[in-house]
Amino acid sequence: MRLELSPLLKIIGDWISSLGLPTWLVDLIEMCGAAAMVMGMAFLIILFLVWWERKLSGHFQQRLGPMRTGWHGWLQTIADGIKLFQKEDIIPKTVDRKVFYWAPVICFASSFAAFACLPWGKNLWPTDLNIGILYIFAITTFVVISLLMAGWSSNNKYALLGGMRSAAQIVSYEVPLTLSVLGVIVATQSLSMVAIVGAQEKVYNWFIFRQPLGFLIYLIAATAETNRAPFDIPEAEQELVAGFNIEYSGMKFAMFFMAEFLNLFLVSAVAVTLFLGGWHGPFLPSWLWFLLKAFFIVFVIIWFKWTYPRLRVDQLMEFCWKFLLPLAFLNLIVAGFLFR
Amino acid sequence: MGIISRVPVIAEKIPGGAIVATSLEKVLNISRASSMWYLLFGTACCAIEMMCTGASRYDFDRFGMFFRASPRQADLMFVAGTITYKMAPRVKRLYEQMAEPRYVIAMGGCACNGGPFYYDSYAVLKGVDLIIPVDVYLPGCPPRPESLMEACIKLQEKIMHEKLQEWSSDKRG
Amino acid sequence: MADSGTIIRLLVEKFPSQVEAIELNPKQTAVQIDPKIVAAFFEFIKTHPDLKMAYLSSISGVDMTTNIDIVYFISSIEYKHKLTVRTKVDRLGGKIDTISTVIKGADWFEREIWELFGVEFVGHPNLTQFLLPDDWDEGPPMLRDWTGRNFVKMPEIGG
Repeated sequence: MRLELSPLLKIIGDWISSLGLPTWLVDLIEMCGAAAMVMGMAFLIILFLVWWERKLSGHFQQRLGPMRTGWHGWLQTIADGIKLFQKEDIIPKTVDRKVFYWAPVICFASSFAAFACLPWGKNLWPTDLNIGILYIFAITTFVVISLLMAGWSSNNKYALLGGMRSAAQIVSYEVPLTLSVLGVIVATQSLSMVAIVGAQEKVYNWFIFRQPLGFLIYLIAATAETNRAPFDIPEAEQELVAGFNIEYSGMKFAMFFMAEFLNLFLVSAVAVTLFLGGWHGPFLPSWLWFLLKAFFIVFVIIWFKWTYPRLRVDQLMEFCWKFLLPLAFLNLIVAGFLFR
Repeated sequence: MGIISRVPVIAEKIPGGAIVATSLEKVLNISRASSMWYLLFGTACCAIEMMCTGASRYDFDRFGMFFRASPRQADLMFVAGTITYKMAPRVKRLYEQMAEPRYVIAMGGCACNGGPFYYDSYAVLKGVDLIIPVDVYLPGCPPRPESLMEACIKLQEKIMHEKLQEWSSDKRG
Repeated sequence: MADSGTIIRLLVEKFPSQVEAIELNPKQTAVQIDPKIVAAFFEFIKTHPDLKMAYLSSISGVDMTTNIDIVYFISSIEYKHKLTVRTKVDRLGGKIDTISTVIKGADWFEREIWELFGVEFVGHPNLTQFLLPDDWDEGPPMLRDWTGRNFVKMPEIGG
């Protein structure tokens, strides 16, 4: 017997409808309920991912990660969060105040808004937009704007350089990313996330087997999209005292921090939906399969970060435009022929 | 955090409120102590020991401490290494750029009082506490990683004993 | 590879009255030269085919209470032989020609000696303060009788 969540939600939904409230109120309650659940899920994911990255990075480097706060440090993220809450919020005198305020908000909100479209399990998605994948890529483009805003408003040469490089990197890598995804869309003839998952019912139908090159290109471009190593020139510039984050402290910094992990989970979830069969799988409930597969891809991306050295900016751009892009076109052409 | 500092005063008037105030204090203190992000700042040999302590064998991350390069995001500054008169204004500037609540550990002899360069030196600042307030002094030349971890644990104990009422900024450095 | 005796013979031949060999320790080839010929001296040992010494390891200043000694440590990468060159300048207001036109690496060493000892290097491209703090106004600190900002002298042992 599989422990599915969708029947439970259906029961709650039916109960709300039976209360005899006006339709708009019922819709509003359902929307708020769905948003609250997705928000809760997002925060739980951030909680887990921050701890997991610290532990994994520790174990990859033959040391233990956080061990003191709770059993094996599982409360570490909560401690980090409460500490960041208590920090003084420094706003330097010469920054552009409005832009400075809004940059972390836009970053977090845009990463989070894309969660509305993910198929978390069987009949378990907040909404099924028929332009799902397009919506996700469009919304996450706001992250670029927020990074530029952060870099520019900080009135700091390192922040500006970091922000510009980050924007250049993300915008460049969107091209092979979208092309690799187009290969899948050509095969499923639909932009809707649910339809794409629906086309992968059997294991041999999973697009990772039907379009392995597309999966690889997607994985590499997605790692670059989220500013993670080996493409983390804008982020790890912080280790070299630069990067768009440099003037942010306290809660504003926490928003950038959380947005990074949300983005990481988002690209992994999209990879799972597009290439790894979404929530399909035997025995276990569908939402559990989705989470397991998504966390596996997250693990692979974290593994990349702690294994490979960082690419220089010119190597990064060269790799994208001279190597990934032709491969992505090739993938699209071959997919077009094979999946007519 | 002006509002937080008035919580104990208000809470005492409510029966049973003191428990809320002390529990809140404890939670805030524990979170600050278990998640110290230290500034990547080191001038001389003690910086090498600090790097070793952050690396695999001794590992700061067990205590939740990892490094941030920007002073705005760091809570703790290890003044690791000799501070010369030329470097002193920069150290002060970095300290002022850190966001409160912030702590300083003077690591090694040179940061505590000038160390081996106390005599016969025209350029060494005799102790970093002449320019910034120091929470924990750690002698050694350089102190071993175990010593450095002991200093961090002492700092954590110091943080656990901090009171909410002292949160107005004139009491803190 | 020219040995110690050959080097000194070549140098004394070229600058008869201005170079003399001095004995520092058995393994070190050392000469004392007249400060007026400094630039020509280094030009010579850089270009002479048997010497070819162009790698300047360091320039040191030593306060000998009556005057300041400037010591150049130079060696050859091709032949792997070394030379130590000593000159004397006056203690206060001493001047000597710069060798940074001959050997570029001497630039910062000479700047340091100017800053810490007060010896002026005539013809140096950039004799400005770079090691001492920006607001330093207490004179060259490496002179033996210097005291100043918070200077604590080491107490005598047994005292």
